[in-house]
Amino acid sequence: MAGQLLFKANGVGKTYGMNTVLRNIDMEIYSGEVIGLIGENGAGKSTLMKLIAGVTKPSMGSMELMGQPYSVNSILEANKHGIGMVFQEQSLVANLTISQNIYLGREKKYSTMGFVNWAKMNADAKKALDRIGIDLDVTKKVRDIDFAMRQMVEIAKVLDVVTETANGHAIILLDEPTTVLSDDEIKALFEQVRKMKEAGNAIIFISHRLDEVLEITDRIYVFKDGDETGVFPTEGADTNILYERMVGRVATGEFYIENRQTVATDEVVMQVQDLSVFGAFNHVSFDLHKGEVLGLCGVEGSGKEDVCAVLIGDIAPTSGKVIIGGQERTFKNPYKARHAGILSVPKERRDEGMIGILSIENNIVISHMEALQDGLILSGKKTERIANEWVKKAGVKCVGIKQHINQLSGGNAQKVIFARALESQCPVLILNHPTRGVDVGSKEEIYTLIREMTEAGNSIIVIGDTLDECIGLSSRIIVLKDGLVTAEFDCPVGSKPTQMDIVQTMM
Amino acid sequence: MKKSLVALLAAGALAVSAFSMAAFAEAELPEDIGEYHLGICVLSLDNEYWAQEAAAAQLAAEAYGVESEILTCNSDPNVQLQGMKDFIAQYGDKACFVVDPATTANTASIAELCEESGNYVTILAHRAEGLFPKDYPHFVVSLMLDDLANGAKTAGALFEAIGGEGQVVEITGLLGDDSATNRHAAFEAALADYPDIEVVDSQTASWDQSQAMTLTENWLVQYPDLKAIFTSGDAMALGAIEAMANYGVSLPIVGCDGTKAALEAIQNGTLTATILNDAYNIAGYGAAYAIQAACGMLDPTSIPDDERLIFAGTQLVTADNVDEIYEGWIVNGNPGYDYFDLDFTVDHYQDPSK
Amino acid sequence: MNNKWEASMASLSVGEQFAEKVKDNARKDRIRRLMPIILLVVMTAIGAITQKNFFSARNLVNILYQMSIPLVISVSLMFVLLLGSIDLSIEGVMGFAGSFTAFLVQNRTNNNNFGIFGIILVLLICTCVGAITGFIHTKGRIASFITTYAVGQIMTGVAVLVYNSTPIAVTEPAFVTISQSRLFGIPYLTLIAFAIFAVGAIILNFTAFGRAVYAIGDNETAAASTGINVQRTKIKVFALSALMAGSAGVLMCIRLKLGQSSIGLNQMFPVVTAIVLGGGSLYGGKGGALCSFVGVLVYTELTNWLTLMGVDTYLRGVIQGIIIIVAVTLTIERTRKTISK
Repeated sequence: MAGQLLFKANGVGKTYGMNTVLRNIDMEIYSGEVIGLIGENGAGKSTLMKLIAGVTKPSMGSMELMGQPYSVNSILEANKHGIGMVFQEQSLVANLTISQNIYLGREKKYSTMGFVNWAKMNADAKKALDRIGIDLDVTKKVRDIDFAMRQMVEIAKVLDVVTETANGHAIILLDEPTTVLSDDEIKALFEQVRKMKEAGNAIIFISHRLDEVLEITDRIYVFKDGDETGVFPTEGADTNILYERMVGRVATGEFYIENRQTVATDEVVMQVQDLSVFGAFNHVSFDLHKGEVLGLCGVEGSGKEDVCAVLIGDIAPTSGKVIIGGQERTFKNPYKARHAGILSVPKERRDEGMIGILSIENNIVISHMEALQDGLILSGKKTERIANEWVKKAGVKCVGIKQHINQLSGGNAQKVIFARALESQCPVLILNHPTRGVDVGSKEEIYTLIREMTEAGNSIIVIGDTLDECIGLSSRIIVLKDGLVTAEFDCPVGSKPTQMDIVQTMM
Repeated sequence: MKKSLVALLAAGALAVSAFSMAAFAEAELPEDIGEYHLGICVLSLDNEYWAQEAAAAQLAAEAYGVESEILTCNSDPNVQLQGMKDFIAQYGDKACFVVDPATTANTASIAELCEESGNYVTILAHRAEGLFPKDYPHFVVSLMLDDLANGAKTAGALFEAIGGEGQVVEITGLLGDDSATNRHAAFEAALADYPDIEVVDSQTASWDQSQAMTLTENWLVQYPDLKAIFTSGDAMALGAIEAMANYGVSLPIVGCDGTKAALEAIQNGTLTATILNDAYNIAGYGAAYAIQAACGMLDPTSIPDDERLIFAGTQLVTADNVDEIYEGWIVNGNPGYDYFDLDFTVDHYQDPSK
Repeated sequence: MNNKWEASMASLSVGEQFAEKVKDNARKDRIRRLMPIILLVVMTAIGAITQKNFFSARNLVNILYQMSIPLVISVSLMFVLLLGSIDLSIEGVMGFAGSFTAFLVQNRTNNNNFGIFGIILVLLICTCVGAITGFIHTKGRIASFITTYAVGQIMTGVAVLVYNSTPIAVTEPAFVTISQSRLFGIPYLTLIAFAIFAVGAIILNFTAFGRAVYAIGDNETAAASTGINVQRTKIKVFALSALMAGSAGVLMCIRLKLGQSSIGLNQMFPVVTAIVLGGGSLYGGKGGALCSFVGVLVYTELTNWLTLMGVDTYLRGVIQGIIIIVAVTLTIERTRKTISK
């Protein structure tokens, strides 16, 4: 325990009406340490964060800050005590500049008689960004920078707010900050976290990804169903125990169900020849075999996303060919791609994948409605039968197929979208971050579905949520760097390449 | 009794009068008459009445041998003014205008514009309060339609048709429109002479045929003893007639405007009466006044001030006179007016104090 | 922040959570869906209590007759609004269809007598116009608001050209039959309109095309990613919308026996209002046949009732406006997005 005791929670709990979402939590935060919070969705992590950050008040127990009773009514008040939270949903205003966002609500100190001294504010904003090692034009509008940078700006903002009041022993809460970041950016973020920690601040870090938590934290609190199920020093932590405490069951060593990985056949379902998109990638060629999972790896901006975008008809290639079944095909839009036999499971499930207003049933059949018509009329019986089959097969937890998909949890909604992809009868499926934002339990079920897809003879191209996942799932991996294919790895079960092998070809 | 003259003209005296007209024209028309240009400013041509106005002004221009051009503005006052300015820029002092203004307020701007540039203008159907031709030497005359008198005529015809007693409903035009307001006032005034008429409801249909039809459908259910329907526009009358036909009744009903369809309805016996607002009169003579002033045949300032405020002639159309009017106005598209006889249009004069 | 969800998430098992969540959602949904029906019942009750003639057979037939054409227009808007678009050309297309129909069937202005073939021609032209509108809107990526407004202007202009400024009075005997003959006391025109509406409802609810319209309206990106042909679906919607607007124009011509461009005037926005009254959304994705039907019925009852009441003509607009605001407040689906910007 590095420094002095900053914060202490004694038997804190939270109830909403009859329901208890957090029970009897004890927690100690020392200056200069990074605390990891892990647990499945709904385990109570976010609730605890909200109590500390002043979003809501605890129903029982008490909190202390620097030995004094700590009870705040708002985020602003918490900020004044040196506690700040970076929210999962970004809270930046896209129409304002970076500096305006950083000092949003705090313009007063830069204004005299209503006139804001923009130059001074910009200079300070620059300093705030420098503090976390980010070099950005602070007069840019937030809408003009990418999500990763927005996250950094948000962190800079919170850091600026709390250090203003509590220099040296601020507490910063990071709620899944890495979800939208690429590996490089995560690295940069971790560096900043370490710097903040060395300066004597305490950081609480929430993440779905165990490997990240193990890398950056000093101690780990595990939550399950509102209870604290364990506190472990990170050094020497046993991942199996962590997983068990989190999920309540023993992790299978075969997380990626590699025993069901299929061996690719010689049959080529799709040939990509010399494909280029001006300004994105050049001369990409590969064959996709029947029954294989082909992983695409590369850092953000390497061109892997653009390759997929071409294959599903989102963007038009500048040159090159896609050959399916011996015929050259070009797709102007995803509709044409689907007819050529390619369908995608998009990255942003809520924005690009789910059709919230429609039922589970309709979400499943929507990519294959032509086959379900009696004449011009959709057959209710057929759709129901198919939807019921898939709900059962994919293990979607729901009350019935008529339920709206937007009432499902992330993992279950993702399963519905996988069911749609399988029901589409498209032989080539492109999975873009198939387990993004899905809790550990659902991940396993989704991996099972992927295995079932290839067993059924589908071919899959996957962009993994993590490199680990990509290696685990794929039977072959292609690495892109700066828009060019730099390496290809075979990944047979038992002799998969290590992350290190692949990262070397990515950088 | 000038109105019955029209029938005479149409019947046969046309040839004679045309001959005398030609003689008159040759004697009096200035030599450079062909260089004059008449700007015919109407709101648009997609309305039967406005299209008739334009046609009438063209007839008058032809009679004088003057070039004419139709300027539409889609009811936009600024477009109307700009169109006039462009016309003046093109033809200078050889331009003159007959204008159906886009709005009542626009009449003042039009008078100012023409006074400034020295072009003669006649303004039809609307006149802003306090705007008088006597204050503008180039504002030749104001020709208006006497909605109050017209409303009184149709209301009278309607009340007589039901023997002066019984339940009546009224369908008014667009709320706030001055014609609608005047015709409604005329209806109210006419009631004073018929104490046994009971007005059970009065609603607006905004000049719209379909809305009038809906209103009538509902009224026929609500007021089984309804005896007659007063409307202040032909389109609305036609809507009410359709509703009655569907309901299987045929009550006396009057309109106003004198559209082709309304005249046909009078011929069918479904419409009791309407007012012919007679675009050939108001717009044709309006054009004639402007042309005569422009080419020096008429000095507007020599007309007594009050006589430059004119109500143009209109006619009550009933089954008695509908056939001849339909023939002249609709079939021939020319009632055969003598556009050199400027006094013909004067029905009576406007109140000079307003 | 939804406290209730957080609560049930931690204390219940996953299965129980779903049961909870769905029960709650279903309840909210039921109430929201019921609101327009409640509104309809209330409106009808008020009508029946205050006016003895409201429930008379003739008045009921009147209401059905008066809602006929709005109902056909509502099919048009039902699809377009579900997409989250708007079709401002409806009024222009109606005006054109009515004018051109009057021109082609037996009338007092010319010697044409094409009868039903004339109507078919008119509807074909309207459908093509709609398809072109959709094509310009999707391929040219021009907002539907602008495209349809422009097309509406063009159609109004063409309508005036057709009848050369003097509206054409129709003498076609079939038109008289359609508006005056009745089956079980209901005018043919009403039966035709209801049949058109039924076909529209079936297309929306029971075809792949209808499902695609819902999907695009709710989330266009996601719909595209499922491999729905977004552009073609949109073009079809605008073609269908124009076909329906054209049908409404023909029916209007049958109703009024007169063809002129103004028959479409002020026909669209009351129906938009009616659909919102019925619980439809202007944002796309929400609405449907029931929304449209109930909305149009409530709206028609309201105007009918105001006439029966004999409300002062100057106050009528005020009263109608207030009632609409109150009613919409009760039935509207509130999204997190704001439409008032």
